Amino acid sequence: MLAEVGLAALLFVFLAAIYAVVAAVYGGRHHADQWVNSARNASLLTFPLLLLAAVALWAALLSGQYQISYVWSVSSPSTPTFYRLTALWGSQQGSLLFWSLLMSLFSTAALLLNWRTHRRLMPYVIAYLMATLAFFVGLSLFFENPFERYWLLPTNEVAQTALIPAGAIAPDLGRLAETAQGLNPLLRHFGMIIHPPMLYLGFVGFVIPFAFAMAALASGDLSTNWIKATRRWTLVAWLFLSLGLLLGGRWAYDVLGWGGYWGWDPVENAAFLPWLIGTAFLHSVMIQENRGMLKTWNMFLVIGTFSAVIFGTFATRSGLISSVHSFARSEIGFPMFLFWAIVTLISIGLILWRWNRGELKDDHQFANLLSRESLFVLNNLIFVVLFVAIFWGSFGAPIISELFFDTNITLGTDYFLRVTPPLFVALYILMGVAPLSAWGATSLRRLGKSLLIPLILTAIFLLFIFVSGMRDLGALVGYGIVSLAGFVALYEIYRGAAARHVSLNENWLWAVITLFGRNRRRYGGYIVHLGITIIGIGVIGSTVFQQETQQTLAKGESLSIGDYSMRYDDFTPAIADDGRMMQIADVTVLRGGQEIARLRPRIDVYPTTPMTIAGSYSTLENDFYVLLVGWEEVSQSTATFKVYINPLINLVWWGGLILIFGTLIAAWPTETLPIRVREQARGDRHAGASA
Amino acid sequence: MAQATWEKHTSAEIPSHLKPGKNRLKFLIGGLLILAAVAYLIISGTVTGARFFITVDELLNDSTYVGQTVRISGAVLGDSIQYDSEKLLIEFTIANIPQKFDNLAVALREAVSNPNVTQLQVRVENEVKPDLLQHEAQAILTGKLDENGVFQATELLLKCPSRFEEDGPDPSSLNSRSEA
Repeated sequence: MLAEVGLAALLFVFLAAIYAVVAAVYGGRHHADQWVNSARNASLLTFPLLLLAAVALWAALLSGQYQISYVWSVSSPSTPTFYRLTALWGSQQGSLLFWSLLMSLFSTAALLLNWRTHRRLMPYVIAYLMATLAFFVGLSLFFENPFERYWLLPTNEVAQTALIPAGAIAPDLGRLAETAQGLNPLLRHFGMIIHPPMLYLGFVGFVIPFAFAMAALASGDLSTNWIKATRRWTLVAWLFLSLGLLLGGRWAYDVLGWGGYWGWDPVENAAFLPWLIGTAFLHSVMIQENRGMLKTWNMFLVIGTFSAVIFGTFATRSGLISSVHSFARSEIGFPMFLFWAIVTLISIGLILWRWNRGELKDDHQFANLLSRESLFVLNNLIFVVLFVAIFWGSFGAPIISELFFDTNITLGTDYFLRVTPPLFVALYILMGVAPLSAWGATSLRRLGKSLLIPLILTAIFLLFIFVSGMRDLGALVGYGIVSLAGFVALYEIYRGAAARHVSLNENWLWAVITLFGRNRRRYGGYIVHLGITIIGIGVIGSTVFQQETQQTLAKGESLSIGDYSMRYDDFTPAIADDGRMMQIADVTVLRGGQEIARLRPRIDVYPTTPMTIAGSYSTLENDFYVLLVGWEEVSQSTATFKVYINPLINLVWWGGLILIFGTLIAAWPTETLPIRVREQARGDRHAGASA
Repeated sequence: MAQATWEKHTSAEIPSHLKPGKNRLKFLIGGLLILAAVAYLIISGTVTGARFFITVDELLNDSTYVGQTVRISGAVLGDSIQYDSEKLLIEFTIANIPQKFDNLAVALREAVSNPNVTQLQVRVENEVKPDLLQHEAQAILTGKLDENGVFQATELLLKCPSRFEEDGPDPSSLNSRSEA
């Protein structure tokens, strides 16, 4: 029953989306409002229907309908309710459905919020959104159907189909329940539960700016309308993508047990690539808004972002790249590749067409190398170079070597550790300098003058950490460059507030608050810069100064690392509620002879695989991170531990929170007049203009 | 793709909007310098980071690979796994899996069950035994073949398709009940 409901809902979404594309394009071309309205109504139908499909799958997961193969593969009778809910995105088929659901949520919101304000773009926005949705729902229907069920054929074979094959009967449900496997233990972690939804929200969020950009190209409204309409959408997508990346790193750090959070794995990189181009896009739209420049370039960036999203999804889900994270090899590889190629080619074709007609001419020219627009272009350039370098390392080199040289060459972490740091350094330098430059032109002297105070602050900061015992030259340079960007952000906020304090006689707190209120985007951006600075300091600290040791200890013995020591107290096996065995070592962490924490690093033994769970004691200064790696089987009198000291790693997570806070400030809706008032004002203006 | 967008930008956009003269030359030289630096970075990174990703057969049949850092992939033989947790030393044997296959799980099963498949002994030092190091897992290793024919790995990645990518229930288990 649930399977039929879900299937029917998916089929109707598919048809509604295709109808919406046809009706919207027809209505747009013939200026037939009733067709465009009809297309909108069909589009608005997709979200409730997809929600119905998702609810059907949730209900099946909760009630243990193991005849549905998806339910069988991600849950078992012992799976707790909470993990049954999150199992919706636990594997390929469900996560594709979830992806479509989120995409239609974004589409619905964008249609409702921008319907009146951007009427001219709407037919084509609908067409692009619904074509994309139809593709993904089509994948669910025809390739990775979450509602396929197991059937026992008359020949005594088991078939897995959505519809009942002739003469087939349902297999014994009790037997099915017994053999069900349960959610992959690696995915049973808080970070993994909210990491995929965040990442997907980030991914699908970029479809909105993309659809508006394409609508601008298709409709010929090439003003900054599409940028104004999508600025917040881009920020929201960027916010979720950043959050998804951070949570993924946190999950790796907590669960994968290698003491790190970023491994330059192709799948991680696939999620990082859209972030890079999306960030470039967030910056370069400012130039188009302020100076009417880079119109073509912005189009390329927004297409590049969406294209990177689709490519990343394709690479991860098709089994193209061998990675610890990737999904099973799947049938959807070819259709996804085709979709990616078509989307990219159509988009570039549209740009070239408009460009050829001279409709993407810029209003200004680059006059000065130190102008803000030139520095922004440089920033864009470096983001794109980072994109190219990471793409080449993860996908380009392996694919090209296989296609053209009949060998298979992969680039290891050596490559990324060599290529990316200079580029990140350049980005941090620009993050420090660009906010101080002026539009049009800046003289070197003026720039130097405004940099003076942040430079002094940086020098004091460096002196402080030098005196406190840090002697690594590379790290000092790194800290200097990264912190300069942060001091510039703080200094700019101070300058703005000081101006208000002096000229308007506001008290300091009020001056800062009104400053942010008046220009949320600019000052929210500075907070984001501050967050990125703090992440940078955390990354340098945890990469350059990580310490590790491993030792076998008898009960009562201690090991020491840095100024910590750790004593092995006891070994206490236990059995968890869901039946898994836990091998737990009890240890005490000491610092300067003082007991500061008791930790319980452990190994969980699931039926399919053991899983190492680290114990960690976390302070802002560093993390004490311990893994239980072995023990004497019989008496457990000795156990072996691997211990890491990860300095400043918490700054990565704290910086992430600051980044999110800043993005929220920048994206927060401004109060606007009610639509009726605005439309009246617009009507008056039009009347005035025509009179 | 991304390369193309960037080229488009330099060749079509910036120069056409700049008056010929000093400024244009400045941007051109600056751009070229940056491009040269980036090209150097990526090429040198590729040279240091490149690893041939080959099969066990290819590694053993071509003497040019001896002593060279390569990446190999093979199926783990569960019985061979030896782990010294005090010294953090992992030793095991992998069986060759072909370069191209349709289904990883099937390829792994064939590799571990066929005694005629080439096998290779692997040694990994200073690594905690990964949770996924089990019978029939796919091991992806980076390292060098030493003169004793043992592969000294510095990096060990594992995939377990049979564990995480379910093929569906075993028909026999369902049939027996329904017939009974």
